[in-house]
Amino acid sequence: MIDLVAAQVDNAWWYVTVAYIVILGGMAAFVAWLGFRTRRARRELEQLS
Amino acid sequence: MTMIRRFWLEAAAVLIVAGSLFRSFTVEADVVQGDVQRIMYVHVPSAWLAFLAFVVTMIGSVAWLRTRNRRWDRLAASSAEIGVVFTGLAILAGMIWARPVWGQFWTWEPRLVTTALLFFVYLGYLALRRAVVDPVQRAQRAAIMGIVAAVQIPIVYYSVNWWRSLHQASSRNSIDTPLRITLLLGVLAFTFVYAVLLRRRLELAHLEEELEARRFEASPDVAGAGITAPSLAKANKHD
Repeated sequence: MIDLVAAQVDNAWWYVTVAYIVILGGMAAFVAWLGFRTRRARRELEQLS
Repeated sequence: MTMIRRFWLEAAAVLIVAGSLFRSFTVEADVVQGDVQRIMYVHVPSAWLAFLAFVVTMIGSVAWLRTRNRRWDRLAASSAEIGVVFTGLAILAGMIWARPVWGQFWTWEPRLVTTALLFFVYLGYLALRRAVVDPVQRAQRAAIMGIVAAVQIPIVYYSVNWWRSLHQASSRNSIDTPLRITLLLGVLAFTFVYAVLLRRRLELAHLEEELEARRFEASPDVAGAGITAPSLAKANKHD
């Protein structure tokens, strides 16, 4: 069983790298999106005042 | 000094995430799955963060219904948005992990299905908030949904015990100490990330609320007119 699973996952680091990029990239994208929306809201508030 | 006071939480989050990542890549590999098991150190903390966010949404919803203080509604909405993002990320990381160990990205097994349902219900919560213009009605409807939707959290969590299937049951008590410490460090790091994101999102929610109020002051007739019931009296005015 152990050999079987280990044999299937010989390119394990590829999967690990992709998973970490997805999570950290998603986190960074969310932070950037929040920053963009905050700046836009501030700009609109300035225009209205 | 002001910079330190303003960004201490961000700095702490960056440091602890860096430490957690370092530990995730250097801790010894799992004896059965090998290196691919390292995905657990971001997959589980993402799911934890999503659960935490939805519990906070429920607390904010209950508190809004009791106090009618807008601060609680802002908390519920902000936390739900973060929860949706991290549920999506947990699902994606889980799919990447599933491919090498289960042989497929997706299977219709209880944990996956209940998590996908959780994701779509909270996506619906966010859609509901965008659909209602009146702030009080929006907060009230969202609060009710925020409480009802939270029923799913224990269902998702215990689904691996109630309906044994492909997804492994909780390994909290059986996992070896070095791996458990790494996982707990990941959970702690993601909790800090949640605190940072929530602070940022609350700031945005406050700005959006102010913007909404200013827009209404600027043109009270236009605000919300797009979704009010059609009225003959109004239509005849243009004839």
